[in-house]
Amino acid sequence: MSPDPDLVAQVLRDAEALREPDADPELEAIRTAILLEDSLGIVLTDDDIDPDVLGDPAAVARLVRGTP
Amino acid sequence: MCGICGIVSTDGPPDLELLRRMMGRLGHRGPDGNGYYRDRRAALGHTRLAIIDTAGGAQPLCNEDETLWISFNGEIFNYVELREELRDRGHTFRTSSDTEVIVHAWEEWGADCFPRFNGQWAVALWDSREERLVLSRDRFGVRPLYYTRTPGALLFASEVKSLFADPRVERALDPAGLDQTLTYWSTVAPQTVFRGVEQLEPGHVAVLDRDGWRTSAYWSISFPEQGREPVQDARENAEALRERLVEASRLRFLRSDVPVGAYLSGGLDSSVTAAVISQYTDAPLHTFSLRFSEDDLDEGRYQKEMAARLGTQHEDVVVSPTDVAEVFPDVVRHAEAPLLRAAPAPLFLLSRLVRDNGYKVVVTGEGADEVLAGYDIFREARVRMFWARDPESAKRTRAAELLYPWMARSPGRMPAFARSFFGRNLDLADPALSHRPRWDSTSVLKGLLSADLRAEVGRTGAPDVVASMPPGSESWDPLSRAQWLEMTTLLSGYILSSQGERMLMANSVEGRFPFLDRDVVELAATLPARHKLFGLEEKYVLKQAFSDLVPPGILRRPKQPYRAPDAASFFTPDRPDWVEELTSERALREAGVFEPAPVAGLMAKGARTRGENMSNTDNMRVLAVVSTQLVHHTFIEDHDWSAQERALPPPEVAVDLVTHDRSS
Repeated sequence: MSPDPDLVAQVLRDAEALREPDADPELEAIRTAILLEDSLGIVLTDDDIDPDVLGDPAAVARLVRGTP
Repeated sequence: MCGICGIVSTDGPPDLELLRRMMGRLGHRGPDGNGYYRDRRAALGHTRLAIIDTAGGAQPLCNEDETLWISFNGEIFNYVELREELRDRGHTFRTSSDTEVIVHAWEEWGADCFPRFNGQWAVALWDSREERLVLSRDRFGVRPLYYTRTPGALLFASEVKSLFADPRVERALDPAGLDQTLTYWSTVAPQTVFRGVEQLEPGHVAVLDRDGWRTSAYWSISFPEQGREPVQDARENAEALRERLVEASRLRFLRSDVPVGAYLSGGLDSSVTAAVISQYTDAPLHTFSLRFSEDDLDEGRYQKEMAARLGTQHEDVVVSPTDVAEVFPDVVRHAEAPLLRAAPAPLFLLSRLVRDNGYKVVVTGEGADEVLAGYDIFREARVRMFWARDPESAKRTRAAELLYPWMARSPGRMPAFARSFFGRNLDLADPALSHRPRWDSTSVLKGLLSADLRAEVGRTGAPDVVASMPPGSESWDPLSRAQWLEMTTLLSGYILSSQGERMLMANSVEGRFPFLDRDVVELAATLPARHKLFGLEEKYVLKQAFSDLVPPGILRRPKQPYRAPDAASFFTPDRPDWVEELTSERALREAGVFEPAPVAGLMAKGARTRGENMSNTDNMRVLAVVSTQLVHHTFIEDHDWSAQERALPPPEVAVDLVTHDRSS
């Protein structure tokens, strides 16, 4: 079952506000992965835990909604 | 805030001289006055720190027909509203005190009065008609209440030292209490470190009458089922939290007939409470801070920033390792427990600063880290769970760097560290997953215990906290389970006691804690876990709620755990002689708690390094040995008790129905 869309939107909005632009991108991706897994009850693969995926709000939204 | 004590006797009238000795040992808790009541079955004593109705609130206090007497320590912050409700129900009041509200509330509602109280209390009620003693303690055990039995009597008091005024009370350390301390950092009520002495559990009421002794809970912290939290919107929850915290802070600042100050640590929690008081009340605010001579522990920069922003009159005290060692015997005498950290000592010095400035009440940020998930232990648990979902993942292993930035500079150590940190004793089904690393690393200290004591600990065993987790807790969020464990172990037994109330009351200062307000706690418990710990961002909802009152530099700074110089305090060149004397082979053998040889090795290591750069475990070992030896020396060997008793001034209330003497 995919997470509640309203919850996803809210978590992504709040996560974006906390993003630290100057931090190590890989660590920021891990920080975001912890947040998403805990808040949305999903489990990400190592491929998902990637700055290119988790550093891009639109890509994150697609990932957690399970859309390409 | 006050000291209370009492005796209920089954073999003749209670000994009035004993009661007065018990009161004398509570003189520091109540320097403003004292009083007692005695009949043929019971005696109540009281030493008073006058804060509300300073003119009329002397204790013990009674109802209209003098059949119900009370000795009360603490504050009922909603007493004004309760008094109105009770007046509407026909009760009449002779004083303006919250104490009298308790008397009438008990008459009106019986034990159901306690859930109605929003406050911090330890109370004894004596119903002479029913020959019934009722003891009650607040929800988190902010105020202490101990009891013991002697042949023919039950004794109770705010502090253990008061019970020891009776020579019939056994003086011995309890292996089960030491076992708990060397696991959880403190005992868990009703356990204490003294054999035969118990403490009333927080949120409980005890009754002693013709049917015997019984205790029951009137309140316990509970959390909703994971995912079933009533409000999922973060903004809505932040607004609700703000509303309740503002009211909690206002109540604690305004409901006092003496001036109230505030602590400012430089962190988020005390900044919020001080800012709220400043913003929502008209009274000038006086703030107090603790600083350290060591730069890595000092938060003076942030304290000054906040004090300047609020325009408070600000005072601070700078504490060095030498200061810690100097006051440590006093600290232990007041804490009445072994300590694994020296952190209470600077707080003892801070409350002295408050008192020296003429204040006897302070508002502090205590409780926020437990109620809103601020501690590293919660973040560590989340990272361990993240790693455990795929232990083979190289990416997940790096998560530890988010907790410990130094690892990024030592990548070679990371895989080994990750295995030991993440993997040790890790079971995702374990309800105490969050706390196992702390408990395991603390339990190592038991290796220093003497062979006899180790054997006794093995035989008796400490009660298992995990086994007492509430039914249904398996459906809570893992963060809620971790919060329950933290509130049940460290909050009541150490943070509020050894490091909190006892260090304040040592200098006759009352602490008030808005984050432990009934309504704040009950709201916080219903919040989704992600609103408290958002990913690894601690106290997220609190930051959202008060972002306009706290400067960004404090709002966004990583949490700095409160730490004081530990082992290093006891290895300075000018350390006091007692350190060597109490850790000598002779003293260790006399006490029988620790094995002398490994302690000698530990102390030699400390002397070599001056206590610098010792491991966390060695720091705890030194503190455990030094403080436990002080506990033994002070309470078991009974040194210099007479010097610690205060000569009480003439009582304000003296009612003796045995001799028919009375004055009040």
